[in-house]
Amino acid sequence: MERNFTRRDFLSMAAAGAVVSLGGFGRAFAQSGQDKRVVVIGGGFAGATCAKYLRRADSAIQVTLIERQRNYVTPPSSNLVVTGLQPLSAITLGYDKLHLNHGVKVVYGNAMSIDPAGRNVALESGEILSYDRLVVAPGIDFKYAALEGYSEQAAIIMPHAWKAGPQTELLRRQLEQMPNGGTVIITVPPAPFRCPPGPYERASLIAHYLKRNKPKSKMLILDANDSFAAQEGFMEAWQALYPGMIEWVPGSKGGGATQVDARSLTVFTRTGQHRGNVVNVIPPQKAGDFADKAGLSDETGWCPVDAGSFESTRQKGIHVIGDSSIAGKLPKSAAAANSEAKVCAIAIASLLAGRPVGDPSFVNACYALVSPTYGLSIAGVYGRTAGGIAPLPGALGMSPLKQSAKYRAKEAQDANGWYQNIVADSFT
Amino acid sequence: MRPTTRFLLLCTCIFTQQFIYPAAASAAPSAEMMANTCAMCHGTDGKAVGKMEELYGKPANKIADELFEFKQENKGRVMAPLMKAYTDEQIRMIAKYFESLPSKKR
Repeated sequence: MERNFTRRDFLSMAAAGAVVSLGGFGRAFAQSGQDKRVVVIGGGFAGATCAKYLRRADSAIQVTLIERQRNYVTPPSSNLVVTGLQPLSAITLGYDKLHLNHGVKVVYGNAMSIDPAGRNVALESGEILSYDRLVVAPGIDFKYAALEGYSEQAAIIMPHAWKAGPQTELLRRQLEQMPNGGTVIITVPPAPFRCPPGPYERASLIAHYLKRNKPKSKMLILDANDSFAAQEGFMEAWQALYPGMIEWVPGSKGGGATQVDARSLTVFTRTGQHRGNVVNVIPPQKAGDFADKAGLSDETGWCPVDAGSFESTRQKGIHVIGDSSIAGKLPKSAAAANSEAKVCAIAIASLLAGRPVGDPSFVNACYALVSPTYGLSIAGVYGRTAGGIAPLPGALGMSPLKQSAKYRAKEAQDANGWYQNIVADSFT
Repeated sequence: MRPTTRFLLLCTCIFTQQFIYPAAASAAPSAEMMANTCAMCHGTDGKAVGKMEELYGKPANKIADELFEFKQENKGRVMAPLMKAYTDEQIRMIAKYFESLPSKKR
């Protein structure tokens, strides 16, 4: 197994040498994370990255990743699958490389409960895993009760496709079966939700599909919010590429869905009702259900954490990363999850070795495709401020308006490069 | 952007940064911490997949010069705003980190 020799290793070895020369007594203390165990629950971008970077930070730490499924379908790029531009297999990954390249032990199973006092996790199989530090990364779950008429059953007729997999293909099939001249509705829940530019990228790529295959059709976005990520960039692009095809109804004009009816494919808002041929309901969201069970979420439905280590402010020794966590101004994106995971991994390695936790640094970089050759970006460097995690001054940017087709094509190419690299950085 | 405007903006940035983060010691992420954030687009250790720029083992001066250009001339698409987060010293730290990687390999 390849192993990086870092300056930290050198320092810890030097420290170990110094201690040994004083006598063998303090040796165990100086040997970083020797025989320490970290369990990571959830193998999305956050959990996988954290498991890998824990092993990179200190290979003496034993890392076990618990994941329910053998294959992971990435939410990023899933809008390309929805619109038939890529097969599902192109965004489906396994966990073998985390084991082969980094020595992460992967256990396929369902975590049922945590015993914070005993520091162990019970799996559905009956297996009990002990830990010195626990990382919880359960992603999102849906607040079905917050949208009347929506449920797991209703999602078979009005897919959310907001967790990638069978739902992604269901939405693709519905678009393929829809008549020319039909209406596609996307409902957007109140913020915060996973992937802030995601609904608008989806609307864009669906419009791209409709324009080529069913040009008399319309795309209607019923939004609970009054503004959205990279709004000006999307609006400019829609005007240029899909004039008159996409209608966006903000919350203040009655865009927020209050009720849905799967039988008649109808969305109700406070000002009226809308029938669609395809209705994509992106439901209101919260931290993954496991976070509630473990007492990690608060009344907002998300998990409060320390900005430097991502240790839960509600349960000592348990860290929450990714979409479930309240990470200040960082969005709920794969990029933020990847970044939070690394900060958390370095912090845990420090804590296990008895060193102070250093200052965090985060990057969020999100790309959205308006068409396969038209990309938009949002990127920023974030740090810890008095008010929590926030973008550093001047360091938050969006694609500028009024750029050439060449610039847009380069950003679409960047989007592809981003995807390839973040997947490799997180899962291999 | 007019030079004066750019100068004023630069002053604002410097001033704001110091105003919000009074002591450098209160926000001093390590080189590894900062360099890790590059990996999501440029690969783990800067070993990029596909068309993204490779950083692994590149001379620090070459990396730093390119990053300074992004920062000062507003170039490089997303790189322009990202580089505005860092002091020149931090950019040099990141560049040196990638240069030093091959010697760390066993």
